[in-house]
Amino acid sequence: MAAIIKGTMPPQRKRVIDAMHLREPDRVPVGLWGTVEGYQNLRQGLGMQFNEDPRNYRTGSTTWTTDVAFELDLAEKLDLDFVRISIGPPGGSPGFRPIKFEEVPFDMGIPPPPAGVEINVDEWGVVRKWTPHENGGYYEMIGYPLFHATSAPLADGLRMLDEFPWPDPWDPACWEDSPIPGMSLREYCKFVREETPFALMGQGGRGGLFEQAKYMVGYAKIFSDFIESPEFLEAFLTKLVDIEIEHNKAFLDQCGEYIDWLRMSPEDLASEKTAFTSLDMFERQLKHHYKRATLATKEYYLKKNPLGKIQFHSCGAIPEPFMRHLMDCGVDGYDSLPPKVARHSNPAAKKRQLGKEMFFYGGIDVQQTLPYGSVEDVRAEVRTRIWEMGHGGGFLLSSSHRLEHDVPIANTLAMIEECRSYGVYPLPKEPPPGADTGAGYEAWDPRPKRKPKPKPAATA
Amino acid sequence: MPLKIETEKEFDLEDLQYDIDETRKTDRWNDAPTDVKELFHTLEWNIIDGEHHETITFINGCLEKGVSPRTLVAGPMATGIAEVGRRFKMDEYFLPEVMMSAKCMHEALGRLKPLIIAEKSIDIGTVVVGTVQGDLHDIGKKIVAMMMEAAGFTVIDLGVSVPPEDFIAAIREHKPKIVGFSALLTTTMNMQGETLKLIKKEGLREQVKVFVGGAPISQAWCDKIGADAYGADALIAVEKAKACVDRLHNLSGGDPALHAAMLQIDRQREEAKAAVG
Repeated sequence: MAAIIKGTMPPQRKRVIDAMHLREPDRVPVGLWGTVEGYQNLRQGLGMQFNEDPRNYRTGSTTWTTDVAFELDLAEKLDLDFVRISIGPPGGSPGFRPIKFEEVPFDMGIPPPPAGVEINVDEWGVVRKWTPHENGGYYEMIGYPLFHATSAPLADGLRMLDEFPWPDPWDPACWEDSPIPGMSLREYCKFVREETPFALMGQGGRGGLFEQAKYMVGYAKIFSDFIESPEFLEAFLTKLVDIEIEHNKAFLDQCGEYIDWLRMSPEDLASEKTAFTSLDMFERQLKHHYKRATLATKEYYLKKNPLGKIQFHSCGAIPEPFMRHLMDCGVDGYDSLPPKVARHSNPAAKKRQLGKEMFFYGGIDVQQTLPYGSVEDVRAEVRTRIWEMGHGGGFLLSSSHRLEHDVPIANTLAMIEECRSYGVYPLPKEPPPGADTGAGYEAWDPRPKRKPKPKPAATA
Repeated sequence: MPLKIETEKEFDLEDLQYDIDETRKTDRWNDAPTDVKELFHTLEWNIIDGEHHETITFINGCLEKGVSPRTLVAGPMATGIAEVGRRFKMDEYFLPEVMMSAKCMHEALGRLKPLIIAEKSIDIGTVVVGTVQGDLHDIGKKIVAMMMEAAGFTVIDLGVSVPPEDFIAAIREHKPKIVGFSALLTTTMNMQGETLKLIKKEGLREQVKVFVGGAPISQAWCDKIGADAYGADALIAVEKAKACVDRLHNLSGGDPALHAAMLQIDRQREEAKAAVG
C-alpha cells in the first residue's frame, strides 16, 4: 500500500477535496465505478486474481445489486484518487431471501414462472429473478409489493403502508462486512482514511425515495399515481424519506468521520429524453421530500465531518431547472453526467449554468465511447470533458455510469492515463477539438407558454 | 393524514375560448353531423386529458350514434393519441400524463376490439404481429392488429418483447401470409433485422411477407433490412396487407416485384392526397 505520511493529507485525497470545494486541485481526480462483470473484466485484464462467479462479489444495497465494491489493490494498481463504499444489505450482499412463487405474500399480477425458476425477495419485499445474460447476470424485478396499494381506497392504502414490514435501518448486520474480508464497515473506512491515500465516497441509503417507490409499485404504475393517487404517494414518499434519513444516520454513525463525501441513495429523475415529470409536478410532489431527506442527512453528516459534501445521482437528461431545485434541497454535487443522451444533458452547459455552485462527477460516456470507441476516441473525450468541466475545479472524472463487461480494458486505462496527463492544472486556455463552451445551449423553458392571442384589430 | 395536494391547473378562460374558436374554423370533422362531431371532440379531448374513467361513456355514446368502431379507432382515438405524442415530444407532457392517456386507449380498445372482430365477415388470411425482443411498446401494434382483423385477417398477436424464435415458431404453427414487426425504439429496431435474418436462415422467407412499422422505422430502414413493406400508419399497413393477399398473392416474400408494388401503393396514396389538396 502506498506510504502515508502521518499528519499530512495525501495528494489523492487533497485533490478530491479541493475539486469538491470548487478549488482547482493539482489535477482532475479520477476514479472508477462498475458492474461485477466490468470489474471482473478489469481484474482479469490487469492480470489480477478474480472470482469467476458473478454472485460471489460484495455489491451495494439490495437495490443496486450490480454496484460492485472495487477493492483497494485495484485502486492502488491503477493509481486512482478515490474509491466508493456502499452499505450492504443485512447479512451481506446480495441480501435476497429465496422464495417460492406461491409463497409471495401479495399478488404480483404476473403468470407463475416455469417450475425450477429461482425467485428472490429483497429486504423491501420486491421480488426479483436472477436473469443471466451472455456475460453474467442481474436480478430483474418481477413483483411489486405495493402494486395494489396505490389503487386501493386511500384508507386501505395507508393501512397497507402502516402494516408493511419495512427494512430496519439500524440492523447491525448491515455493517458487519466490507470489501476486505474480516473487516467491519467501520474498520474498513478507518483503514482507507488512515492507511491509504484514497478519498472515500460513502453511500448509506439502502433504498431511495422516488426510485424505491418505483421499485415497490412498479414502473408502469407509479407515473399515473402522481395524478391518480397523490395523497397515497405523499404518504408513501414521506415514509421512504424517514427510512432514507435513518439509513444515512446509521451509516454515518459507523463511518461519518472517515468518508469524504456522501452520496444519497441514487434517484432517477429523467429518461434519455427529458425529465420524468414536469417541473410543476416535481415542485409540488417531489421536491419537499428531497429537501427533507438531504437537509436532515447533511446536518447529521457535517457534525461528523465539517468538510463533507452531499452528492446526488440521477441518470438521464435532467434539465437544469431541476438541478437548481436540488441545490436548494442541499445537494452539493451531481453524478453521473451522461454526456450523449439528449439535449438536456450537455455537460458544458451544466457547468456554465451551475458550475459555480455545484461539483460534477462522471462524464465519460459509457453508452458509446467507452464500450465501442477506440483508445484515441476515449482520450479525445477525456480531454474535451476536462476542458469543459474542469476549469475552477469542481470536476471528478469517472465513467458516466457503471463500467460494464463490454468496455475494453485498454479504454479504461486510456481514460485514467489521459486524465492524469491532460487534467493537470492550470488547464489549457484553448479548447481541444470538439469541446463545447456551453454558450450556444438553449435554456429549456419548463413551462411552455400558450401562444399569445393576436391583438384585436383597432376599430376605426 | 398526508397533505392534500392540488393537482388541478389553472387556465385562462379567455385563452381557451380563443383556442376553441380557432380550432373550429379548421376542424377536421366539419363534414360530420353536428352531434357526432361534438362527440368526436369530446373523445379526442378525453384521451388528451387522460380521463380514463369516462372514456367508455364517450365510446358508447359514439356507438349509439351509429359510428363504426373502425371509424373511432382511425378517427378521434388516433388523432387524440397523436396529440399526446406531440405534446410528449415538445416537453409539454411527461410520463405521468402519457400513462393516463394510455389508460384511455386501453379502455377504448378493450371495448371496441370484440366489435371490430365481430364485424369481420370473411377470413382472407392470417397475419402474425409482435413487438420485437427488448421492446415493450404495445399500443401502436394493437391498433394495427385490430385494423387487420377488421379488414378480414385472422391476427395472431404475439405480444411484446417477442424473441425471434417465437416468431419462427408462430410462422410454422399458423402459416401466416404476413408477419409484422413493431419497434418503438432506435435501440430495439435492430431486432427487426435480426428477426428477419433468422426467418431467412430457417428457410421461411419466401413463405411470408414481412411488414415493419413503429416510430423510428422508415422506408429506408425497411429497404435496408430487406423487409417487404413499411407501414407508415395502420391504414396503409392494412391496404398493403390486403393487396398482398389479393392481387399480389402469387408473389413470394422477398420478391423485388412485391417490394415495388408496395411502394406503388404509397405513391398512389400521395397522389390521391395531392389531388384532394
